[in-house]
Amino acid sequence: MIIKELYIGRFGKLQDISFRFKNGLNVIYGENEAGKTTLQAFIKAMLYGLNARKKSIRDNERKRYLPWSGERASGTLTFEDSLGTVYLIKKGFGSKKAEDEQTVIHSITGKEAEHIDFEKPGMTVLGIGEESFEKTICIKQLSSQIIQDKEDEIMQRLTNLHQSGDEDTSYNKAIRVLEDVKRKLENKRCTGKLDKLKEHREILKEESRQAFQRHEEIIESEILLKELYKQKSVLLQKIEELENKKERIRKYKLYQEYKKLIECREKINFLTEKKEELRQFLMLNGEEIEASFLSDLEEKYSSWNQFKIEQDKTEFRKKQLEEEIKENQVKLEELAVFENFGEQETLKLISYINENKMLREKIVEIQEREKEIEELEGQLLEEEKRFREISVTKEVDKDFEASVYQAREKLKELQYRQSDGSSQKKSMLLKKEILDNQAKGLSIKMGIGLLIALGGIVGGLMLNPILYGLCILGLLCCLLVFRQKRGLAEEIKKTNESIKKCEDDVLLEKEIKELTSFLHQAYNALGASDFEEFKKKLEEYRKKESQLNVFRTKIEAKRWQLENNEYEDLQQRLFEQELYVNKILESCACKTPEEFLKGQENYRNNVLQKNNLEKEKNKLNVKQESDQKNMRELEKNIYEYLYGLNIQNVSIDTLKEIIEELSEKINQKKETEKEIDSIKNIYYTVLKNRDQETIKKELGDFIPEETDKMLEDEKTVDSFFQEIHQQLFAIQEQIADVSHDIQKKEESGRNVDQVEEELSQVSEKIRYYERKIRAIDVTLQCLKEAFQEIQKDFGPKLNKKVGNILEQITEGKYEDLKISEDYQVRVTDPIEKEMREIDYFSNGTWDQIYFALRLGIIQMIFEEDKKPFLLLDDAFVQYDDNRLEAALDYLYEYSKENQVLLFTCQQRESNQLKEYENINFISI
Amino acid sequence: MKFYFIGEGTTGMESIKILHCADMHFDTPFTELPHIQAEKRKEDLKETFSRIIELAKKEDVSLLFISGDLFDNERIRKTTVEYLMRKFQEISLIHVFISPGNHDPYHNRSFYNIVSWPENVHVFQGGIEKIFIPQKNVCIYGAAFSQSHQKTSLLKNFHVDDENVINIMALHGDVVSGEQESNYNPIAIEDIRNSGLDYLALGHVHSYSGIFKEENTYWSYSGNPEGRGFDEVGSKGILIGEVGKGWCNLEFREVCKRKYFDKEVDISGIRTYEEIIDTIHEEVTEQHANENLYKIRLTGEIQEDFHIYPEILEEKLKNDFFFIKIVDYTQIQIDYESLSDVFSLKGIFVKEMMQRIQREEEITEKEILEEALKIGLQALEGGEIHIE
Repeated sequence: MIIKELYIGRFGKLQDISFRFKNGLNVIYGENEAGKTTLQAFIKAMLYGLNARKKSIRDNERKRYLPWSGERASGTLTFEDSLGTVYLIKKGFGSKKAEDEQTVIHSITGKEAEHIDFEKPGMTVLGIGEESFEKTICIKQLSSQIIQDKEDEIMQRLTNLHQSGDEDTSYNKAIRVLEDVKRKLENKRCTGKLDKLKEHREILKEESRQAFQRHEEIIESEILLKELYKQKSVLLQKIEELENKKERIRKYKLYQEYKKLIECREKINFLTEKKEELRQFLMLNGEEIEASFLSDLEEKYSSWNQFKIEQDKTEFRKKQLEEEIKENQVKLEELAVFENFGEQETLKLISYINENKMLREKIVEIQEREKEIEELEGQLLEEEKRFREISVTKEVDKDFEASVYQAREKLKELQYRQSDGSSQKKSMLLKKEILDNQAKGLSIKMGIGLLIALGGIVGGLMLNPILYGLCILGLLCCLLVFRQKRGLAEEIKKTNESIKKCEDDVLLEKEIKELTSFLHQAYNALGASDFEEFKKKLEEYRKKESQLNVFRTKIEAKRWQLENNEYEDLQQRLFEQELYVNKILESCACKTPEEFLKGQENYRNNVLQKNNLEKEKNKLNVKQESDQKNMRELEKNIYEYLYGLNIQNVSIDTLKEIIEELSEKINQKKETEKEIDSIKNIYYTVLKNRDQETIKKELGDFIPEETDKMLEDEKTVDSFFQEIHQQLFAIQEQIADVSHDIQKKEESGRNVDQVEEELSQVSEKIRYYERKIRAIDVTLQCLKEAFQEIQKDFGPKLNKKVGNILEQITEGKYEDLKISEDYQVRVTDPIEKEMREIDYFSNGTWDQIYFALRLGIIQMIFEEDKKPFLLLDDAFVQYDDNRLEAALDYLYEYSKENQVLLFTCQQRESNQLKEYENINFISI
Repeated sequence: MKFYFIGEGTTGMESIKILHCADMHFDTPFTELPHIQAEKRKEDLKETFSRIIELAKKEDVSLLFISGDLFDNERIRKTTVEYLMRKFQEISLIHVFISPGNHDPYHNRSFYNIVSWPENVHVFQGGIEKIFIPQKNVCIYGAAFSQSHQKTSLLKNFHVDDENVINIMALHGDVVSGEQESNYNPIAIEDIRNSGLDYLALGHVHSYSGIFKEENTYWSYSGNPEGRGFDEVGSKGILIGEVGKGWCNLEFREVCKRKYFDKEVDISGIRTYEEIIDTIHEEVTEQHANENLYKIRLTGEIQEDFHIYPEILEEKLKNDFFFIKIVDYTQIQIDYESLSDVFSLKGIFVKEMMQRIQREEEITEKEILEEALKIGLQALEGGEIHIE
């Protein structure tokens, strides 16, 4: 392929510009920033389009080369293919790939070349992709290293050199695909399908193990369950036996109850008959008599009876009265004497008896009084005689007594005045003496004071002025003493006055003497020696005088009494009365008035008694009559009552028995009724709301046996029953628990078979994938072997080709090299004769080696007549002049057969190349 | 030997009608099937067992023999046990004899022992037991596995007590010839020959064996009444008929709900899934195929760029069958002529693989190599490889 012409409408900084290239070597010179890179990019964009994958502007071709103005980038590329046909690629680029326009037309006919890929004409025309383009024919400065890419088109082409139809097979790609698949199945991170399956298999194995274990446990539980069911059936049998027993007990009890019911029934029937008989007996006028009837009857009878008793009593009393009356009559006849004396006579007699007594007493009293007066007059004479003995001299009167008292008082006063004056004088004298002594002392004190004062003055003058103070002190003392002395002098004066006064009282004594003699005379009159005795004598005198007066008065009173008594009158009356009394006593032959009075009272009492008895007798008669009437009425009433009753011809007296009989019958009836009730109660209690017939039916053909009596009571059976039931309950609970446990276990996970099924499926898959992996391994191994065989073929060829080129451009320095399948190149160092890694060499050599590798590859992968243009962009920058010359020589030779586009910014290349012919220089 | 009487009376009989079945394997997992289908199969099993019970009732059989492996004692669910009890109660007039096998051996922890089975069910508990039924003039013998292995023959040196009555035995075990060994009650032909039995109802082998005769003794494996996997294909059922003194007219009766089929379908030259599906449909000729279970092995040579994904095919076919499993055994059609001359990666690879395949004798390894060849070609084509 040869690029003939380029027209750039707009691309990057280039605008409306054309380039024409020749076959052979074209040198495009431009300084930095002139647009060389843009031009290369344009060529690539024409062949492979613009990519926009990368973000940075430098790497994002679309952003980089589209005009800032928003215009579209566009241009054309005219090329000639290996057959010599010329085509025109026309492209316009928008901001997105979708906006791109592109076409390839036949340059002569203008027809669209349909066999060419419009978007990437390079793919069709050059037969390589964009990456291979950049790794082979597009050689840029400092980046000529070849790195294996994903598609590895180059290796694919290298290995297919000898193939006819299978250009597409790629060793590296195949290996990668296989390894990818294998990795997806199995990898170190265990994320592969097989890894996961294996993991799953382990889980399933564990689940299976657990399921088996669970099944074993279920079997254990089932065995336990079997045992429990056995126990349960034993218990159920026991329960059945007990139930039968219980039924037997129940029936037996029922039977006994039934028996009791029948007994009760019979008794009730019997009692009912009895009751009916009694009822019939108690019928009265179609009605049954009752207790009230009887009580009425009884009441009537008892009142009748009461009357009867009363009547008997009355009769008895009447007889008693008759006798009493007779007795009374006899007594009255005996006392007939007293009938003549009335009440008047009796009262007179009694008063006479009483007065007689009083009169006699009065006479005795008068005689006694006359005797008393005589005695008193004798006593008075005696007393008067003794009194005269006391008052010897004269009559003591009141005035005398008073003058004595007066004289005594005056004497006393005078005596006091006398004694008081003498003692005062004595004390005054003593006082005067003391005061005089004091006055003397004071004078001495004053002298000392004066002396001190004087001493003070002298001292003050002579010795020290302070001693004047002593003088003042002395003077002060003098002043003090002086004042005391003046007070004392006054006192002495007063005392002297008092002493003078006392000496005036001597006159008093004379008067006292006079009074004392008077008093002595007075005391003698009464025979007393002093005043005290005098007073006593005087009192005695006065007492006797009053006694005498009392006597005289008494005697006078008694005389007066005696003069008033009529002694003789009294004697007269007494006589008359005794005469009257004796007369009466004689007529009644009574000895004493008392006897008369008693007899008279007796008579009177009997008369009274007689009246009373007669009154009572009358009363009784009346009562008897009324009672009899009542009784008759009652009798009539009672017979009416009894009429109609089965009892006839009764006397009232037997009524009591009849009543008793009736009452007895009523009671019997009541008793019977009660008994019926109580039996009925028993009957119903036993029946307990049931029905006798039902019980009979329930009993059916039950026949009690002797052994029934031996049966335990229901409670014992029940408790046993309960115990067994509890056991049964416990067993059932256990059964439920175990069953539940089994069910839970069965539900707690999948069954063994289910797990095993899945496990087998998984294992099957694992086997399947393992087989696949084995197959892949075999494939890989086989492919590698095959590749090695191929490599044996193309490897040496490539090595040789590249070696030749390297030899030429290094002027024979390096020639022996080896290229690995991933394009690592090792070169023999000519000096040390040793193979070395490319990194061992200098940058210049490094560039050269890859330049050689690229040209070698180009020669290997493109057929001789189908080689495309070669594009070089400052590829020789790192070359020295000699090597540059060699490279250019080689390139020049190369360009004789092939188109070369050499982009450079250095004059060095241009200058050197100017020596060659037929070189197309283009500068931008 | 334990001895029992069942019933009373001495009315002799010429023959007795029996039903012989075995190996239901209740609650043994259906490992080849996904969950839902596996559960359905378990239900199928119950349905089929119910059908057997119905059949016994309808045909008025006197005795029902279950020659072991009725269930899997290590896996059986309580509900299944309850189901079986119910079913046996439904035929309370039929005597049921069960000879426990290696999956349901009789021991302490066996459900045969744990559960109280209905009265009409007799489970043999160890060495040979004998039950005489006078009213039928029949003597039943049977024995039980007491663990999952029974290395010595339970029938060794056995001979019936009374040759004048009809003698039938139910047993679980492996019929072996000569001194052949087996962990599952190795029953020697010779012992059958000398047993004096009229019929020996066997269980353990899952396919109907046909009815054999040794001397006067008839014996047979009824097979299981419902297939359990693609190794138990075709018709499944029970044996029903009369056994008399020295004769029997038992016949095989299919009772299974579904059948397993394993088919090989050659799809050489086919280039589309549609064609494959059509071919499979053509090959599946059975009636009620939609109720059955199929394993289709695809064989033949296909183009190297035609990739077969069995899952996709299964997905497309799943509604036409109860269950279908597609296994790809196809080989890639390779133009050896064109490849062998070309010196290319692919050429070298194919050549190498072919040599290996040819060299390999082990079938599984060969299959892996075939697979590797397919994968390699697919990778070299640059296509993505899907492994599901």
